[in-house]
Amino acid sequence: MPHFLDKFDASKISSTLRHQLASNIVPSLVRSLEENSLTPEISHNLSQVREIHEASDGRMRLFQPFNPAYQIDHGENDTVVLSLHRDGRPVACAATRLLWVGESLAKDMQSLRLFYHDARQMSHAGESCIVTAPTASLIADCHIALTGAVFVEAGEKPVVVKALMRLLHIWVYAHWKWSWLAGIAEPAVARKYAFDIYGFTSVEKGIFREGRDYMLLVAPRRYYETQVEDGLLNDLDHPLGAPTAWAAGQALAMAEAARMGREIRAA
Amino acid sequence: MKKSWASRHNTLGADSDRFIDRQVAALRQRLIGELSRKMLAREIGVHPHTVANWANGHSTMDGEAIAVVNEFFRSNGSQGFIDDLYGPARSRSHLIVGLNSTDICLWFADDGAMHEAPAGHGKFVRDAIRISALAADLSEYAIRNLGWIECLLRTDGRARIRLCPSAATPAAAARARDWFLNSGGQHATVVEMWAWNEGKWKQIACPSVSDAIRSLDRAGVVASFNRISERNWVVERLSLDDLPESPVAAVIAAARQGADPIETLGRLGLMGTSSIFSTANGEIVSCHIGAQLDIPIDDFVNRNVLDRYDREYGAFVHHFVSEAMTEDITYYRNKGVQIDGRFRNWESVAIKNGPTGVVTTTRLL
Repeated sequence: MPHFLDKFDASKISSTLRHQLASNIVPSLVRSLEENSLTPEISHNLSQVREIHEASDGRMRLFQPFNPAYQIDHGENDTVVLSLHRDGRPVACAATRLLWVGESLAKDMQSLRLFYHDARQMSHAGESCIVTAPTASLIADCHIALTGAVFVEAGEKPVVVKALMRLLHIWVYAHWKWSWLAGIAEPAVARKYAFDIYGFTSVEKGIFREGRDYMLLVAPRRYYETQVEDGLLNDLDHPLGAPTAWAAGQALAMAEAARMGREIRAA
Repeated sequence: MKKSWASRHNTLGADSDRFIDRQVAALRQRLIGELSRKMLAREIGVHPHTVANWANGHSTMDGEAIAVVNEFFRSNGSQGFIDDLYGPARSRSHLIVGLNSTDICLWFADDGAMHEAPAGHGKFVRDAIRISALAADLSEYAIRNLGWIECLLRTDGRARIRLCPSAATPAAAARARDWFLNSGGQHATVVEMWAWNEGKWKQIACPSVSDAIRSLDRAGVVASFNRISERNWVVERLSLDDLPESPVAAVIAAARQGADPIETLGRLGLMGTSSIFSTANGEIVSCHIGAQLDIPIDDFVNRNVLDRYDREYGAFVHHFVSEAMTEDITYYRNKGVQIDGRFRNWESVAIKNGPTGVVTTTRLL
């Protein structure tokens, strides 16, 4: 499989952001993986996810949008799998699918269209998905980048999952046009990873499927763009979404100005 | 502005004095008295603005222009134009930087610096971005993402240039062009040029070294599209839903139903404010410009839009037409755009017309 750098093509995004990513952020994230003897590789085939799933001894869950058995005709235009290899063996992976949402994300989930290439043929009798997450009804008529199949072998350092998710979403940002980054996660995973590690802005309760409770994770594209603009994606100690020093300074200055205004009026 | 990390590396200084400065001096020295700019323009068949842009250093002459202008000066008794541009013939060989028994690997970086890569292009990038990544082709990474231009000059005179037109910076393209004008072109006999486009390498036809220089010049114009915002122009992409009910809206509606847009424009009397472009062979060429648009038609018709002397606007036209080729119909509003020295405001729609054509129609504001 090709190295991440061989498949990374940011020539379609603005020159300022491209330069920020290509000269600074991407090399730094790749370096942090190299320091852990890991090589990031890109594939557009979900069979890569299945192989890692099969080797995980049941630790990795294989959600239908990432299961090649239910996704016919996927490929370079709508699927990316980033896997990390040590000595030729995969130890971590995450994948994103580019999906068109019609009437609403909630309806696509409830009709099971989001889960199966052919819901009528592939779903089983009585299968359902109940969606009450409010944002799922608001996301409509747009492309979403749905991330899942996230797996890191036990014993890897925390830096590995951080670099994995950042590199995956940088690839997805640079290569595809979408309006929302989305994910579906179990509550425990969402609590631990959704904001600081995966980079979502909101987590909503309200997806019930096959007797289990899931959370909807979302972030608008513009939010992701500000993460790139901030230039801190390469700093793995900086939690995603935390304010930059510049933003903190701005907020302090605005608060100070407001206080001054009150004092002046009082005088 | 933050200095590019690429500039930390040593740059080669052999052509550090800029070609364009010598071009300005060589022209100004000769274009006095009876040999006026207008006379030169008339004799060699270009617009006086073109000559003015060369003499003022706003644009660089390509190989063909240099040959024609040299011939004009020579026939008027003024010798040595080429020597003034390149230096005397006997001393030109030193401009071939480091030419010896091995091939020369050069990078033209995003900030316009030229770097020699003695251990190969990939090794240079690997050192520059400080990663080992032995499996990766880092040359392609630098071309696609850093906007660098790669040049391999072989000892037998064959040269290979690789670039990504949508990522290459104007500074990199200008430096590569100037280096070929200065020194590379003195050694290279055949230039093979490759462009990264839509995820693939495509060869750009370059029958001669002059054509390669012209292609680099055009790459610089394409890249200058990003500079439009620095000119206080407003270039705004609009939604087709915002298009008011008008003859233009009728043209779009007809085109969507399969009607020939040129025929519809003619029927509605809009050809005077419409233009036709051909995109065959990877070049965007103006085939017709409406007379009511009040721009110098003779200078622009039958020419590649990237060869126009109003370079930033040429970059916009290139972008506008290219986008229509991929998206079928696009709609733009431009304000405060300077063409041919005058400021204009207008709204334009571009419609794909057949496999290699685009029609634009404009409403002047």
